[in-house]
This record gives sequence, C-alpha cells and structure tokens, in this order.
Amino acid sequence: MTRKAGFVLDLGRCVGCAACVLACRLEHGWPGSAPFRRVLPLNEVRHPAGPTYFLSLACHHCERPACAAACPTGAYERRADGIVRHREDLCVGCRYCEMACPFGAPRFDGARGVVAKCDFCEARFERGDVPACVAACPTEALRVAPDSGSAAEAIPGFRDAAGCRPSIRFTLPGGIRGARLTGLLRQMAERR
Amino acid sequence: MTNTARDQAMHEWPLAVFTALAIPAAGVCAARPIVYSLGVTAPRPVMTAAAGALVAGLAVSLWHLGRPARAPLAVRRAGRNALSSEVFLAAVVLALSALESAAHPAPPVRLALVSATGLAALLLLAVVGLVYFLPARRPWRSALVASPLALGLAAGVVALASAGVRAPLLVDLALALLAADAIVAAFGWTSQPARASGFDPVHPAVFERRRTLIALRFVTVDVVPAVLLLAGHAAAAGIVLGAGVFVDRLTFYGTVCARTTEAEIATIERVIAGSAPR
Repeated sequence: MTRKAGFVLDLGRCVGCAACVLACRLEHGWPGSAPFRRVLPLNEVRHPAGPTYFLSLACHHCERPACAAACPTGAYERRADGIVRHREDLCVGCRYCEMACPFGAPRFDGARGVVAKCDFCEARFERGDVPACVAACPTEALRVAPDSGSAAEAIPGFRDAAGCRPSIRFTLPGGIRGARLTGLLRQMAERR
Repeated sequence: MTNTARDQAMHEWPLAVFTALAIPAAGVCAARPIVYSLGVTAPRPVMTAAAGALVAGLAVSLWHLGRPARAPLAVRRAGRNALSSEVFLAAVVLALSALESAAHPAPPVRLALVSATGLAALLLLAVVGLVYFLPARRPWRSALVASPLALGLAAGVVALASAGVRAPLLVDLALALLAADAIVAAFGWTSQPARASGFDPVHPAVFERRRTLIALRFVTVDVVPAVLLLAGHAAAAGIVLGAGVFVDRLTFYGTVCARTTEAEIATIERVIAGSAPR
C-alpha cells in the first residue's frame, strides 16, 4: 500500500526550536534564500503576556495544488503518494505559483532564478523514512500523518479553500479555545 | 530561532510595464476590425506602433523571469493555463500582424487576417485578466479580472481616434467603451478586499495610498480622456489614456498584493492573547 504524504503539527508540543528548519536546509544542501520550512511564532513578539505557540509550516502537499494549476510550464506534478513535486528544470521563475499558493509554500530563490519548495524529502520517503524535519523534531510535534487511525485527534487547520485540500493536520494545545483557533486557521486560506 | 524572512522586493514592475504596453496594443488590434468594417483603414504607423509596443512589452516581461532563457517553456500549457495562453496569443497576434504587413494580401484575405488578428487580440485581452484569477487567493478572484478586456478595448478605440482615424461614430464608440471600462473597474475595485494593515512590506509606501491611486486611475483612464474626446482633442485623450493605463497597472500590482501568512498569524495571535488565562 502506498504511504501518503502529509504533516501533522501538534501546537502543544512545538517549542519553536527550528530544528526542523535547520534539518530541512541541511537535507536540501542549505538553499540560502529559499527556506522550505518556516517557524512562525504566535504571540512571542506582539502579545508576550499570552502563551506562545509556534507554527512550523512548509508545503502542505495539497490534493488539488493551486501552484500546479497556476504554473505555465507544467513544472509541478502530484505523485500517487501525495507529494507535490516541483521540477526545477522546467521552472522559468515567473513566480505565479508564489502568487497562487495560499500558504506561501513556493519560494523564489533569487540566486538560482527558480522557485523551490518542500518535496517531503521524497528520496527519504521512498525508502520508508520520514522527512528530515520530522526526524529532527525533538518533541515529536511534527509528524507524518498516519494513513488511518488517529485522525480523530487531529483537525484540519486550513479551510478547504477553493478546493486546494491541504494535507496538513493540527493538534491543538489545551487552554485555548480550539474551535475559534480552528476557524482562524481556516481563514488563513480563505482570506488571502 | 524563527525564520519568517520573505523576498521583500516588489517584483511585479516588469509585469506592470508589460501589461501597460500590451493592453493598449491588443486593444488597437481588437478594435481594428470594427473600424475596418466601417470601410476605414487604420494608419500603418498606428499598427506598427501597436506591434512594437507588444514586442517591447514581451521583452520587458522577461525581466520578471528568474530564468529568461527558458521563456519559451511558458507556452507549454497554452489552452490549459492563462499565463501560457497569454504568451501564446501575444505571439499569434504578432505573427498575424507581421504576415498581413509583409504579404500585402488581396482585400478578402486581408479582411480575414484583420479579423483573425482582432479575435486573437480580443482573446489576449480576456486572458490578461484571467492570469490573475487565482481561485485559492481571495484578492486574486475579484471582478477585476474583466478589467483588462474593457480597458484594452477602450484604449484601442481611443488610440485609433487619436491617430486621426475618421470613422463614423468612432468617438461615440470610444465614449461608450470608456463608460463600460469605468463600470467594470468600479465593480472590480469595490469587490476587492481591503489589504491587511501593517503586514505587506513588499511594496513601496506609495501603494499604501490605495484610494488615491484608484481615484487617479479613474481620472486618467476614464474622466479626462472622455472630456478631451468630447472637446475634440482626440490626440490629447490618447496621451492621457496611455498614462492612465500605466497608473491602472501600477495600482493593480501595487495594491492587489498578497496578505502574507504572517498577517494571518497576527490575527490568530490577537485571539489567543485575548483568550489566554489571566
């Protein structure tokens, strides 16, 4: 059975150490200007009195990727295992995928003149490993989504806006109003 | 350590220049069959200028590409992708114009070529708008996608009038198209969501003056050219409208920009801060 690509992020466990970012950069030869993964802090700067959470985000490997629809050269392909792959040899660097993606996943690498994005560490994934970011996470906040089973504990963080169907799932920490956070996370797709 | 750095340079300048040149150029080609059907031939310099503007626009658009040498790959998905179709149709318009110019065909063939060029230019104008119909992004799925079509047709007819083409009802047609453009643009801009405040650092500060820019766009594209046409100053109307098209494109690229993920994070932060245990 083919494993399916998709991340689960537990907001209650992520401590914002950015080991995932570092692992991603090392795995992909340290692409200087186009990090595939970002850690976005919640509250750390603007509301330090509140609890701090971290969102570790990369490409969500959508079921119907907006980047692929926008690309004029067909540089994007969605594999059977769910990995949305970007072919750099076909990329002209027009950046329309950047505009089209509601999650800011494709990043233009000015030094190379092409867009780059998370490939779910496809080589590792094909040999049965987890992506480098997942392997490096010290708190197991970032995981590969299980094929089945514990899906009930995870919620889709992003609204299924315009049919993108992002694969990422979030597990919410206790102590915050989950439903409202869920709604806002959904708006991240809707309101952009 | 966090990593929220984004490429903060405004990279759409070449696109603004490209569309500011291509929209009026395609408009001239699209409007030409109308004039031709009225028995009037558009002056050759006007058509040469339109083709030159289209070529110049395409050349400038290469500045937007990270790999300009791979530009021909951009037509790979013509018919299935708006951007691919845009490049393909621009090439078709240029090829048909060049063919007509070089071959000096007999009148029936010429009529067919003029019509085919006009149809391709009309499709090009529609596709220029559809490039920015990006369903997953709310700012990019407004009625503004129809604006290049209305703007191009108006600019094309005004350009022909300003070049001295004397066809019956041409000025009336130009005024009607300017009115249509104003309606389409007004509908488009009012359906456009406001930008997130304070989290769009990618464009120069001038684009924070959204209302002023939109007002300037309507004045230079619709109001002043219409007044000048009514006053009989067609050439001046063409010049002002040319500048207006550039204002329109800069306003479009400068203000219809992405809300960043970071902006949405800030929204979530406010709620978490508000619901945190005291």
